[in-house]
Amino acid sequence: MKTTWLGTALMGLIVGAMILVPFVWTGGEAANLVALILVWALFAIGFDLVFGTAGMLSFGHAALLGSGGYALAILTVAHGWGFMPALGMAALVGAAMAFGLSIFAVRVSGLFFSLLTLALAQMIYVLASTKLRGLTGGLDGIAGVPRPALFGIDLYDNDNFYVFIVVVFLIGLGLMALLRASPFGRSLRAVQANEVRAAQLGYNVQRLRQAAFVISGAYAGVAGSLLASLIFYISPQMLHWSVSGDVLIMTVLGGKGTLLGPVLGVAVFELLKEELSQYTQYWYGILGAVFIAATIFLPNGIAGLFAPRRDRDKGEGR
Amino acid sequence: MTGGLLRCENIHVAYGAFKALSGITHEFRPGHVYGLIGPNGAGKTTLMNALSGHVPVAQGRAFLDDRDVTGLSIHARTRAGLGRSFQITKIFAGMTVLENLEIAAFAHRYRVQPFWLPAGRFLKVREAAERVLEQVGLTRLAHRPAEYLSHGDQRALEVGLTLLGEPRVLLLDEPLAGVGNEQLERAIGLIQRIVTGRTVLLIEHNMDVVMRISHEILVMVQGQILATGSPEQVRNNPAVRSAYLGEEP
Amino acid sequence: MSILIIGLSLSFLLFLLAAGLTLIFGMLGVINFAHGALYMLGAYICYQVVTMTGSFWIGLLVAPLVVALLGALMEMTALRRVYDRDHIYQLLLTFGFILVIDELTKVIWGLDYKQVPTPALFAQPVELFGSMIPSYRLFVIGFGAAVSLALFLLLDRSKWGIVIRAASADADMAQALGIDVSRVRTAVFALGAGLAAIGGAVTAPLVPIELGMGFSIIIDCFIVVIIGGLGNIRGAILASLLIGMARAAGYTYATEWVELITFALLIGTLMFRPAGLFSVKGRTA
Repeated sequence: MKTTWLGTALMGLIVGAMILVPFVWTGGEAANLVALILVWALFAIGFDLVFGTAGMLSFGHAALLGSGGYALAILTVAHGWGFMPALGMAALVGAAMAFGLSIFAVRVSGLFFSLLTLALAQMIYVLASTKLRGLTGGLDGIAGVPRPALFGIDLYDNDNFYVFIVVVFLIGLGLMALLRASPFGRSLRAVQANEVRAAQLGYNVQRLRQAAFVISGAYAGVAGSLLASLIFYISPQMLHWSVSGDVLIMTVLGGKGTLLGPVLGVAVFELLKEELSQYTQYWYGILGAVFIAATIFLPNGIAGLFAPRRDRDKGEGR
Repeated sequence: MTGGLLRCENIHVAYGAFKALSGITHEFRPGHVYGLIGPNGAGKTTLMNALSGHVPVAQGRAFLDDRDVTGLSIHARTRAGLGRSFQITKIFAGMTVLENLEIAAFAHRYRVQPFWLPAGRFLKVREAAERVLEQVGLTRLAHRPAEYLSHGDQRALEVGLTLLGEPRVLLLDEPLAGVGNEQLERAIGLIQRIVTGRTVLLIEHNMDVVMRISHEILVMVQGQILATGSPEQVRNNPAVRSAYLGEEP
Repeated sequence: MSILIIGLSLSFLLFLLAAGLTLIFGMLGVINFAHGALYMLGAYICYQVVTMTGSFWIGLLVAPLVVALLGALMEMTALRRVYDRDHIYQLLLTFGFILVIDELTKVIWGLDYKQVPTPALFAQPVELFGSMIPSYRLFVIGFGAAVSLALFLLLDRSKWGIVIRAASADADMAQALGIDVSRVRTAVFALGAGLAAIGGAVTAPLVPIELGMGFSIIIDCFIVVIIGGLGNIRGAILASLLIGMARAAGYTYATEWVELITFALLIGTLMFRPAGLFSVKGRTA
């Protein structure tokens, strides 16, 4: 879906303002919360390359996020790697995991892709919590995941680490903007819009889908690493199916198929969670109801509000 | 454009127990237009599907300029020089007409799609798309979302998408289907222009058009070629008249 | 011997669920992600009825009816609104249902395990070919076979079945023939939901009833339909048997690996028969 220029600018302003908040309110909870939002947003914009742009509903993205997080945790904690090389490696591991899953998953299309990614990711979850205990620490997970040391700045300070996350997020966002606007990004949209026609024009549809999935895996790998580093901890919880569900909810709430929609969706999700969980322990169910309502009444999410009128109610992005 | 020799050798296609094609053998010579006619269910579209790779061939081979394309995937056949348009319009909804054509141009020019520059920076591609835009007469609608085009204009876009692959062999499946009377002449003119110099297989219910632009007619009945010949010969063939036109011999 | 019995009872359970999934998919074009949640709900409602009335049999009767009603409600209030959109939206909705159903379950029944005692009639094990078999397992097999047969008769022989099959094959044509397709859709979704709840209720005496049970069963179910080919009842039967038996063997010989056996079967299938073991066509659901 396309948002208008004005809409995109407005969304950009909102995201920009959100990023600036912790610079104003230093030393408080703001840095932690917005950092969490930005890390999840990185995950979500990667997810949306597969979901919103290429049109494949992956239910297995938890496996990609988790494998990146575990890669960083294992390399730094058990093997003494530096943070930055480990972060790069985590991106590769996320991509490699995505490639591994895609070998099976892109063979089937449509709804089967969702079923299959869900099942395969569940397998990774089971493996990490049982058979690979030696590597992953089983259900206990790995504690003491470090933060980077850069230019002698103390990144264990939340405000400083926040700056690091903002930088990584902006690089990720910029690369994704370029990717989406490039011929490659367009070809993914073409595959989504009409798979048969795209193949008939000479596009290798399976290869394109696989490429999108692998890139998405790299994003998830980086996001998983930053998440583990943000909370100093990783457990199989990061591989749990509900993580795949959360990123889906965020993306739909924000607006799939747009660059900034998923970012807004993450922000709304996290803020709703913060607010609702103060009043009730059953906040997740309320979020579910919000999600159902959004699916019916706001198919293009928040970004849909910024779209030309004629595109609004269609549930576009086939 | 050179080459474009398409050979079918004993092609069989089956849907379960139903034999959609049984033993199609024919040579389609470069630069000639072949009209496929026959009653519904005769296997005309199935033959196109078999040639473009949309349905698997149970038996037999297809050669494009002596290259065996039988086992190739759809996109590989397109890259080998085979283009096709569909009976049911297949365009990219949610994109403008020009974007639709650019998608086709990128597919033709790059094996690996560039990811390092915005699509708008590829001026050669833009030019190629604009050339075809003019050729199919849609210049004034370039920035209209494709799904809002009239049916006739969508058919023209469909043909344009196919043209950008610079196919040597062109499979046109009812290019005039659903085109209104007021746009018919324009559409016929377009088809006449694009078939020149190409090997074309044409399925079309408008007999005037088929007879006017085909060099050779293939009459298909029940998955087989019943008769071939020039439009004149076919028109006067008693077997064709009885089988196809339902006349008493 | 006990492997065979446990395997068969598991297989019938999986088949009941897979049949519901397949039925709903055939009619509505929706893969119901909430199928496992409805199964779980069936077990909880059965538990509730057992605590209130003391009778498992009333629970086995009430749970499917309540869940079928809920299914009808889900279809009428939500799913119906998105049929004309891409299939992804229907999947999203059924995913949303999981969250709401899980949370409601938490609100009503809390987080503790619940248990339903084995009905008195089947409390004693019986001897079969020299080994002692829990008789309730035998009941599950018989009951599963009976429900499957009833389902088959309903779909294949009854007037209702003809209506459902006609509407699944071509909704527009059925509509033109005077069939109220939207009511058929509601009924089919309710039927599928009821089947899931039957599965849940009949399982209730066998396992601890807990929140996670819906998710673990849906994964197995999805694997059954991937291996068997969605919409292919024969494939679903064979795939249910394959997975049920493999799991039962796993419980006996390699407890550690049970969870992974199913995945191994899935991967194996995909490597050698990407379109599913029992399907002829390629899949583009």
